[in-house]
Parts: sequence; C-alpha cells; structure tokens
Amino acid sequence: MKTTAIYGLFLLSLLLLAGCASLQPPLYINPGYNNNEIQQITVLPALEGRTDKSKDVSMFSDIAKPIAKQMTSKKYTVTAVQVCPEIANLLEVDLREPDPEMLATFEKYGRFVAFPVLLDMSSKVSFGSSGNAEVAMYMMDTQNKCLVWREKGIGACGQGGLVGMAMVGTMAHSALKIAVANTTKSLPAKGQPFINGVRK
Amino acid sequence: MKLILRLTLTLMLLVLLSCSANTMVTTKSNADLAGINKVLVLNVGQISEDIATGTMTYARRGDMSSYSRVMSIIASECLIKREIESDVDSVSFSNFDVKKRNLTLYKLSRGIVDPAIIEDIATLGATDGVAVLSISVYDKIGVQGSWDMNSGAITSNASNTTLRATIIDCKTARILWQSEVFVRHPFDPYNAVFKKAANDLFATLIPPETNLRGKK
Repeated sequence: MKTTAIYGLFLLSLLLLAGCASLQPPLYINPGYNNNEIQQITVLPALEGRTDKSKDVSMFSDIAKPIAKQMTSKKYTVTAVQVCPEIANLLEVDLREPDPEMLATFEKYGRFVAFPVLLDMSSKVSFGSSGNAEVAMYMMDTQNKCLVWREKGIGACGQGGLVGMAMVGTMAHSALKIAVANTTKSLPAKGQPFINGVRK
Repeated sequence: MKLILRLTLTLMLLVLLSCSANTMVTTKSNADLAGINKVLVLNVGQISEDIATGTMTYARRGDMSSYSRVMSIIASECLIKREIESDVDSVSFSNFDVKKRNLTLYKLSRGIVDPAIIEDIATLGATDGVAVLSISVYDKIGVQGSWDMNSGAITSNASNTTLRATIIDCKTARILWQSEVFVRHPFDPYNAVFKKAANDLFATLIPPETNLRGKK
C-alpha cells in the first residue's frame, strides 16, 4: 500500500514537472515580432536540400501537410500549397539571409510564408537499424521582406537486435515524422508571445 | 548449431558492411572542355554546420589546407590528361570577408553564379579559353550515436560531408563540368575514405579513353 502511494506520488510529480516545462526558444526569432500579427500562414512544399536523395518522400504530403496541421492545432489559419515553382532554384543558404528581391517573388502566397527544407533522410543497418532525418523551417514576412522565425527539427530513431534489423525499411520515414513534429515545437500558440532568446 | 553459426556470420558481415562509410558519387554533367586551354583552380570553400543548431562556421580548419592542396593536385593531374594547363589562383575573392568568400566559393561549386560575381569571373579569364574550377567541402556535424540498454533503442551519428566541384567558363559563365561526392562520415582529411572521395570527385574529368596508368 505504502509503495503504491509513493509510486503514485512520484508519477504525479513527474507529470507536474512535464506540465511546467516551458517552450524552448527557436533558433532565430526576429525581435520586432509578436505573433498576434500573424493572421494567416502559407506553408510551401518542402525544398529539396538533400544530397543523398535515395529515399522517396513527398515534399507536400510528408512534410508541408503535417506542418500545416501542427500550426492549425496552434490556432493559426494555415494554407498548405501543393505546387510552388518559385522554390526550384532556392538553396537553404539563400533563406538564412533572404534577399528582398527573392522574397518579393513569394508575395502572392500571402504575408507570412513558411519554407520547410528537407536536409537529410537516411536509414542504417548495424546491430539493429536506425534512421535520421533533418528538416529546417523558415518563416518569412514577404511584406517587410525579412526572416521572422527559424527552427530545425531533428529526428533520430532506431531499434537494436534482429527485430530492429527487420524494421530498417520504416526507419527513415519514422525519423522524418519525428523531425517534422519538432519543427513547430518552439512556435507558440496564437495569442501567446514568442519566446525571445537564442537556443544554445 | 550450424544454423546459429551461419546466422552469426551473416550478422557480422552485415554489421561490417554497414560500418563502412556510405559514399555516393554524382556527376552532374559530363566534361565539355572543348576550347578550354587553361583552368584556374580557386581556393577551396569550406562550411561546417552543426546539425542540431544549424550554426555555420566558415573559418578554415588547420588540417584543411593540406586536403585542399591534395584536391588541387588531383584536379591538375586530371586536367593534364586532357592536355589542359592548370594554375592555382589563391587571390580571387580574398577581398571578401571569410563568410562571404566561403559562401561564394560554395555557391560556385554548386554551379550557381551570382550576377554580382559574374564580372569577377570574367576578369579572371581576360583571354579566351580560360575557366575556373571551384571546389567546396560542406561538412555537417551531428551528435554521436547512442544505445539504450533498457529499451534496446539505438541512434546513429548523422554527420556527413559533401565535396563539390564545378568548372565554369570565365567568358560565358557556362557550367562545363560538375561533380559531387557525398560521404556519410564526419570530415577527416586523414581518413582513407576522404582520400578516395577526393579521387572520386575528379574521376570523370579523366578522358574516358585514358587507362588507369594515364596512357592513352
């Protein structure tokens, strides 16, 4: 009885601690922004930033659509665009310090435009199997021609042993799902303030 | 008993195979060097990125200079086989700050010639038949792999390196040849994988009719 009570208390305190965990600051946040200004976000299909393109992935269904869904759950009005020819010649480095002329070409998609970038997606067999994925996310203000918010989602998963080895086919996509979910973690729900500061 | 032995051997073989660095070579365009009689080998651009934070560093590592030299030598040897003279150009873009210089060299190695530097490239090739060779090393540093002994969950290191090279005609800014080598391994110039990667990067510059000893 006593042991059960202690165990219960321990679990309760863990839950409380998890509830108190604050939102981590994003990798970059423009200090002049307050997310009440963000009325509508357009999520473009992910840019292809991989060198190793051996894994098949849909830039819209596997990346842009889930990101739009996560943003919607944070009370933003979001539109996911399926085709965007303007991103064809863009590199990730171009988004870090965006050129106003380049951003002007995206004005037709609305004021706040989110650019997801798929940077890596792989799986590996060892004493089991593992998967890695990397997705970067840039939100631009096409009206003021600047970067508003930048975040990166890393996904890593794996399982040891023969069972893990048999799961190799699913590892890359599982890692991608984790990475995509992590890209919007630092985005506060609409109406809540952005967390300023730089994550180390 | 025999079955267990076979299974163990297969497992060991799979593990050994997976331990070798996964290398991928892509030749984006075949060498079209007709009319080119001199190639200027530019400084090697280097960018290191921390995967977790996306932080980029542009400062040249101490051990990078010898690797740059090795790459320039391999490129020159390949060009000689095509009877094209080569020269190392270490002064171009030296007026740029470290970040701008490395980004410019990186973009050039990807075949992207910004309108702002077309003039610089054209100045390098004042006479006809001159091209520039831009090489870059982009390495991404990830966290080490892990193993949780309770759940059996494992993760692997996501570090990788991409070597890129492009030859651009100075007069027309046209891409004459482009190659890329992707290695799933943290950058280490003394590792045999990277010695091979440097050779693989320029392998398609060697004329197809030339044998391994360099004789036609």
